Amino acid sequence: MSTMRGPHDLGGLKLGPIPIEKNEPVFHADWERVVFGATICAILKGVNNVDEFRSGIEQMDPKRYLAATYYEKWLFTLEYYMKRAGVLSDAEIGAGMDTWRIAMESRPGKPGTTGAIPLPVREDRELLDTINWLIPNGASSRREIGTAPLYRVGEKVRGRFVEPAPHTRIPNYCQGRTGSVRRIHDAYPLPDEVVRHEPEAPQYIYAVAFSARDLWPDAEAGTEVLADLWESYLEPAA
Amino acid sequence: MSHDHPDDHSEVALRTRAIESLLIEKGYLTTAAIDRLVSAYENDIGPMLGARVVAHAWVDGAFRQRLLADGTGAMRELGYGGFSGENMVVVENTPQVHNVVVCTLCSCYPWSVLGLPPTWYKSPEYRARVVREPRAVLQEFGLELAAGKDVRVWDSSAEIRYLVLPERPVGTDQLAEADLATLVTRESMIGTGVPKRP
Repeated sequence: MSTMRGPHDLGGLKLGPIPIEKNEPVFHADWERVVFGATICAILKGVNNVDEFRSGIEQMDPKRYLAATYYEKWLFTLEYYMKRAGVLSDAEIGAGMDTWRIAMESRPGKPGTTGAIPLPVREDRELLDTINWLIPNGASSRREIGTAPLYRVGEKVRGRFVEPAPHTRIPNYCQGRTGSVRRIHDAYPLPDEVVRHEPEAPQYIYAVAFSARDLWPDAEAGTEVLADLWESYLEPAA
Repeated sequence: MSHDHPDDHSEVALRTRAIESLLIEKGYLTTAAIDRLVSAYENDIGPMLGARVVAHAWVDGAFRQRLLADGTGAMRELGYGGFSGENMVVVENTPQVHNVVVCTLCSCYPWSVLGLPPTWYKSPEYRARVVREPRAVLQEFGLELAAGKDVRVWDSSAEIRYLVLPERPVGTDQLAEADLATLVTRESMIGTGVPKRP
């Protein structure tokens, strides 16, 4: 019935209570700020694209994936692509960590002093300009294509079975299941092809409505799940 | 420097520090770049922007129609949009329908009008359960939906980012738009809550 699923493909699993934190800060630690910034800079520097960023996280061991915090996952994928690009090595990272460890342990409890090893100083005007442009303008991958959508609103469609590796964006719960087209979005490149660096062939995306009871017999009644699915993830369901 | 925090001796902090230093050295990163990105989402961009969109839709029916027809374009009228909010769809709560947003595959979220997502939104528990038992999940947020109301759960599995337009609370006819915006919570724009009462 179901195909393989990656560790990230969680829709429909029966997990525990939602961890709700009152008055949550945007970041919980300074290292999270660095990982956040460094990950976006890696993308802007062309080390990897956004789809690869997600695909990298999906390579994590399932146990590690479920235990990791959000920014630990980001750090994993940042390292993964920096190593692939030959920018970083485990040996360098290990040596760097030892240096910082020694610096910290040699100055116990003195606030401010463990920053004693200064970070390298570098200016990059172009990077800063790119960020200042990116935040208000974004980087949409929406494309105009000359063809009409294959499916119309209200039409019954079925999710195809798609191999999860290295990357796809059809959730496991849609695969082999029949739903109805609710909205037709614009066309965008297919992430499965983007991570393989194939020539761009944008497709329409459809919001497909599934009855939750059709997906899971014990789902709550009166619930619809709407997934956004690229055209090639779908087939007609007469 | 906001991220120059000397007291965190955890392995992940140490590892991040080592990587940060190496990436700066190799020309992939600067502290100014990190500070700019962090500052944008800690200070300038957050749920207060989405709240203004919602309040404006509550007082201006023509804007509400444009917002529902073209979320991206209507938000642009107010000056909102950009990174991780390039293509927006707004879904409206009504007495019959309650909408909830999730990303089951990662944590896609409309940063441009809500800022960075909270931990619960990114948690495996929320991503796994809300598609199957949304009412049970909403109860954990203290939200009890009226019996008979339909629930639509939007899984942001592609390039579109979703925002919920919640119902305007009763008894707010006399309130000005700016006061209405203070009633609009982050959770009410994701669908795990409803706006505050005045």
